[in-house]
Amino acid sequence: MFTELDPFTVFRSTLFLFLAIYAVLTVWSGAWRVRRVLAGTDPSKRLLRTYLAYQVVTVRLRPLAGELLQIGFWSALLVVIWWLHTKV
Amino acid sequence: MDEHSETRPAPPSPPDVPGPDPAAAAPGTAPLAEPRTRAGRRSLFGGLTSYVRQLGRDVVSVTLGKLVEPAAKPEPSDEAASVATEQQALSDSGYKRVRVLHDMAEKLRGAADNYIAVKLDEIEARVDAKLDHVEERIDHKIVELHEQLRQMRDRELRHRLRLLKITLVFTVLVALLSLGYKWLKGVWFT
Repeated sequence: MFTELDPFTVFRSTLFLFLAIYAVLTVWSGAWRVRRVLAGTDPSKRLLRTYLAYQVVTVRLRPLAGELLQIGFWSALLVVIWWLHTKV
Repeated sequence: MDEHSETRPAPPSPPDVPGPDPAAAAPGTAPLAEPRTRAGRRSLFGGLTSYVRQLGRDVVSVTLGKLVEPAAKPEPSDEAASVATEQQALSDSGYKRVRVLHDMAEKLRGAADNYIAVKLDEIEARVDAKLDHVEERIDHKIVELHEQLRQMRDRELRHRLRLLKITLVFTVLVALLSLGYKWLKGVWFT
């Protein structure tokens, strides 16, 4: 049974599994930390939440357009390569 | 300036009967109805005004008491009518002098009140200007901090996006490697 396994497929699947677990844990812990910092009913917390909401709303994408375009390009390339896997 | 002058207490009107004011003779017994609309800054100056007024009342009362004192001395009862008339004339002239002095004292007191009111307004205007200056500096500093935070936010976003881009590049490289491996395996093993 194990002789039919492709080593590269094993490596790729293992890498994907570890990176997925790492990403989920990192995002979850970060979100929990932010929630703990922002939670509360005192006026300072309310002011902090309001100010953060204002900062989020006033983000301008024009200064970040270069980075966003590059990310879009690499994402499209990844999708194409993934699609090519089904054709080869 | 007008709103400050409205809150000032009016100078006291002269009494109907000349003579020492019994309320003024006892220091601290004449309450001053100071409207304390601005209790914070006016309390100090209000206390100073009350002290100056009370001091003026004490001086006037002491002066009037000295002037009236000779006229209030009891005269012997066995004097003749001419002596009584002369004493009455002296007393009348004394009361006239007292009235004149009292009027002058009241005018001086009113002038002093006006002077103190003007000075208080000047001091209040200077304090207001200073507070406005401090508030302006605080507002300027808040705007400066807000601008710094905005720049830090943009730098942090750009940094995160760059990290995401690098991760995507390496993912594409691994995908290309996987695609080449799959293609080579299909070519060689078929």
